Amino acid sequence: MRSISRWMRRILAKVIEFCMKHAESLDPEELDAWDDDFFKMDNSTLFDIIKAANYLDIKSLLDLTCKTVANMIKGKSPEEIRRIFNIKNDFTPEEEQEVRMENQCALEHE
Amino acid sequence: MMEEEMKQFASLCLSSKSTSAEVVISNYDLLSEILSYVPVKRLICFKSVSKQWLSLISSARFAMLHYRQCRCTSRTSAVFLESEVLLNKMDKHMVLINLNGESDQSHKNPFRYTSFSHDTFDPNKVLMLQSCHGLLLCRTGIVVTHVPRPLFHYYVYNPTTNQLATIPINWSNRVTIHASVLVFDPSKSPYYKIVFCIHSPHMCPHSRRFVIYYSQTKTWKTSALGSFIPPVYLAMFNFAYFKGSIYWITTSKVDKLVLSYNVDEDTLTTLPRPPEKVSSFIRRSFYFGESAGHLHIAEVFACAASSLDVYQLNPDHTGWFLKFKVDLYQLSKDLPQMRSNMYTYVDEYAFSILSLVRSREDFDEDSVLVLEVPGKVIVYNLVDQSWKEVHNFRRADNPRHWRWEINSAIDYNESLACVNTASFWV
Repeated sequence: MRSISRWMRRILAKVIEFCMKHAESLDPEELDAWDDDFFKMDNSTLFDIIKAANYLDIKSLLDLTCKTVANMIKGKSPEEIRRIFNIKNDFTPEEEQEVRMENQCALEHE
Repeated sequence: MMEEEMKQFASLCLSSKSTSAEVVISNYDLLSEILSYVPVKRLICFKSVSKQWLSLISSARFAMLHYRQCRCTSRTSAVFLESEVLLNKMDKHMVLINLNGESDQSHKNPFRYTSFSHDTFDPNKVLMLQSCHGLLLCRTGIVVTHVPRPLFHYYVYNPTTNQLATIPINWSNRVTIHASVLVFDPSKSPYYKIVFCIHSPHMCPHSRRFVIYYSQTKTWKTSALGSFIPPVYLAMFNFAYFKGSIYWITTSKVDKLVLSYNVDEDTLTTLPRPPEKVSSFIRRSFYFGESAGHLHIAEVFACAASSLDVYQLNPDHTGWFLKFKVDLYQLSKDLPQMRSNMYTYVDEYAFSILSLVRSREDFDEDSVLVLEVPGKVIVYNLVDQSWKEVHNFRRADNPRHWRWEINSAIDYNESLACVNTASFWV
């Protein structure tokens, strides 16, 4: 229980920091710059904040964290994505080939 | 406590030593949220990550979520243009003109004629008729020399996902189709309709009827309006779809109006057309289309003044106001091929409007006209009057000779929209 409450304290502190900054400042440019800095965090914290923002229903924070993750993953290949998130490839080699041909993936990125 | 619920959910599919990342990614709603910010092209590739990702990215529900997130930033990035294959003039292949220029290789032509292999005539002759928010309406394309006239197949095709739906036509080949309009608004519904304006043999020669196909139920309905006689000089194949209504513009010098058919309400109304520069001259070509929530008309008249006027439909849909003016004289100084062309009079400019792409934001800094002049396609900025070449027909291997044409280009928008939305809530 102690490790969970330490996690909670750390994440909630970040969430509160975000909410307070966005409540007190109205300048979109200043907020953008602050957000860029705020999101320079390790992946574990980033995903913890997604969970917290989702649970606490803080839409603006959830949108921004999801966007940050999207930017992180959009340049990756499917194989890299599976590795990072420990996703099991449940396609057979034939099925995977069919999906890639169907979607012209072979022409891009790899 | 959320972490416990998350851990319980995740442990169904992952080991108990899941990281926060794994837990979030295994949550369908959170994964949807994250992926809704990823560009369409990358999402198509991500379909091969796992079966869950394939199912999510292919779902109609996710397509709508993604459209909502990205509509603020995405806009038409390319147009399809008919290419003349000199060997066989009957083959109307469409090439993709990338509006960011030829050096941007991110757009390979996504239209695959092989997907139409079951077409009863020739898949390579399939015609692209119209695009609507990423979906294309296509049709069997043949030279009509047969009597009785053969029955066409109509298709709805998403070139981004390579999904195809064949529309079941249930009328005889003696019915004449004067217009076919794909009606699709992903901000409102994942389903589309196709409105056909037809003439059946038993009707009097000038009257028409609307018949509508609903993709949600895969059924047909005849409009309660019944037969109507459209205004004279209304070319029904020149239309624009905008916010629930289909608009047609007359070329008559007497009835200066625009006909509007509201698809949901099944009503037909008229509104005045934009003012013509010089009403006694013939219309050479025009552009009529929607972009970023605005409807535009730009008409080119023979022997017109040296500027092109672009009108926009006003907010209450009762008339038009002048939105942009293009200084053709200035443009022709940089592009001398616009002058003295075999198809133009001595003081006319040779150009066609392929598309108009407005900025998504309120300020119009990136609003552009896509123009074809003899030999090339350019993108002209409507605000600062700068222009850049995005395609050169002489360098490319798709020759094309400019002449007066209407609707020769079709917008391409990347989209995840489903063409067969049987299971929307999955």
